[in-house]
Amino acid sequence: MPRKHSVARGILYAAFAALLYIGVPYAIDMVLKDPSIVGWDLSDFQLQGVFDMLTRAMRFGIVMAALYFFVGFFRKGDKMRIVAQTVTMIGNYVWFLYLVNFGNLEDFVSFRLNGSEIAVGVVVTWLMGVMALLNLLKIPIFYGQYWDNREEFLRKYDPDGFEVYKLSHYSDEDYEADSKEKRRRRRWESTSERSTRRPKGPAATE
Amino acid sequence: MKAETTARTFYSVVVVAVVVILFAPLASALLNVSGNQWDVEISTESEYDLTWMDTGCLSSNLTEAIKGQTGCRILYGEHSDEVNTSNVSAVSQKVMDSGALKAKVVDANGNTLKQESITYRNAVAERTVMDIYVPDLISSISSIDLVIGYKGSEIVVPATSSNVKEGNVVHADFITPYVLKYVALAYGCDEYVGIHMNYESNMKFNVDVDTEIDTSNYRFSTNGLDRDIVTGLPAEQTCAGSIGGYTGFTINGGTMEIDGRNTNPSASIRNSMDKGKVTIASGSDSITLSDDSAKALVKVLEELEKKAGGKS
Repeated sequence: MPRKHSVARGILYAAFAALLYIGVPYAIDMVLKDPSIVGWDLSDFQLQGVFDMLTRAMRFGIVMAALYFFVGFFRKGDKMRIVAQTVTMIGNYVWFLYLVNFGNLEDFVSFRLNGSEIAVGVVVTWLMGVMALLNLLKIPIFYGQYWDNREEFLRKYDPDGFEVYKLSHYSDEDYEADSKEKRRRRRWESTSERSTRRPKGPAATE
Repeated sequence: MKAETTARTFYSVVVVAVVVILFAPLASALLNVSGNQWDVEISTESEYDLTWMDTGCLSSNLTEAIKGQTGCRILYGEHSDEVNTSNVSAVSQKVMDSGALKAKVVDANGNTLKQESITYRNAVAERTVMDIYVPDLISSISSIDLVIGYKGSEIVVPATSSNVKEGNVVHADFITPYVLKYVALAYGCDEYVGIHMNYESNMKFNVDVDTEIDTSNYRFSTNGLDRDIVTGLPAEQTCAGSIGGYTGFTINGGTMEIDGRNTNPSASIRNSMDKGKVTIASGSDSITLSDDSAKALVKVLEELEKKAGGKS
C-alpha cells in the first residue's frame, strides 16, 4: 500500500518556501547593496530600514520553510494537512507582522533632496488588519481542498477508513442504474442502519 | 475540485477588491504627481514681523534673502531702501530705527524674495517661520503635525501655529527656547524639522528635514557642581534670566552658563518642575515649557553632567 505521508513532497514544499521567503529577499538585498548589477545609482539613498526589513524576512523565512515541509508532508485529503496549513497560515501572518516591524517602519529610507536630508518613515496600522482578514479567508480553501480530496486519499491510503467513509456518504451517482424507488429505499436504509451497522474499527469491516 | 476552486475564486475576488478599494486612491495620487512635484521644499516669502527682530537679526535675515543679488529693495512702512550685501547692516539699523512693524524684501522686478526660513529672536527664544511645500498628496492627508526636534534626544518643539495655504503648502511657526536648543546641540543632536503626515488615518509619513546646524562647534562642560556651560553659541547674543524658580542662566560672548544655585542645574530645574510649569524668563520676554519639554531638557542635562563628571 502506498505511504500515507510523503517526505519528498515535504522537502519540495520546504524548498519552494525557502526560495520565496529567503531567496527573493536575499536577491533584493544583493541588488540594493550593489545596484550597479542592474545599472542603478542609489548613492543618494540610505536604505538601512529596507535592509533591516529584508533581514527580518530572511530570518523568519527559515521558520516558514520548516512549516511548509509539513504542508507537503501530509497529502491532500489528510486531516492533518488542514492543521499544518492553518499553522502555516498563522506563521505567514506572524512573518508579515515581523516583516513590517509590527507596523512601525520608522527611518525606513532616507535620501538627499534639494540639499536636505529627508528621512521617510511609514507607520502602517490598517494593513495588519487587512492581512489578518486575507489570511483567515484561506481557511475555506483548506477545507475545500480537504473535502475534494478526502475520498481519493482514503481510497489510496486508508482502505478501512474508506469503508467507513462510503457508509456515511451515500451518493445517488453510485447507483444510477437502480430505479428511483430503489435509490430512495437504499438512501433510507443507509441512514437508519448507520448507527447499527457502522464498523467499530478496522477489523470490523464487512 | 469544486469546493477548493470555489474557495480559491472567492479568495481571489476578495484580494482584488481589497487592492482596488484600499490601494487605488494612493496609486492614483502617486501616478498623478509629476516628477518635479516630488519635492519637500522649505522656503518662505521674505516678509518680516519686525516686533520680533533686532538689528542683528534683521541683518542676517536680509543677507539670506538677497543671496548676493543686486537691485533688491526692502519695503517698510511708507519707505523703501535699496539693499545689497555691502549695506545690509546700515539698512537694518535704519529700518529698526524707523519703528516700522513689518517689512518686505523684493527683487529688482518687484517680486517678493524667498528664503529658507525667517529667524526671529528675543532674549529667551528663537522664532522660525517657514512654508513647507509637500507633494500634491496633501489633498488626501487628514492631519499634519509639525515639530522642530533634536535627533538622539526627546526634545521636540511643536509648531505654535500651522495652517495649509495654496493646497499643498503648510505654513509653520515655531518658537524654540534657546536653552533647549543649545543644550541639545551640545549633546550632539542634529536639529530637524519634522513633518508628520497622517494619510487618511491609514498611513503616516514622517519626513525629517535636517536643518544642517554644525553641532561640532557646541561643547558642554561643568564648573563645580552647580554650573553647566555650553560654548559655541553665536557671539552676538547677550541675555540673562531664569529657568523656573531656582535656576539662572546667562548668554554672553558665545557662552551660555546655567547656574543651579548650590545644586546641579538639572536637579534645580527638576525642583521647579515639582512646583508646576517651568518658565524661562529674561526681562519682559518669557516662554513656558511644556511638561514633556522640561522632562526632556532635564534628562539631557543629567546625561551631559554625568559625562562631564558633575554629580547629579
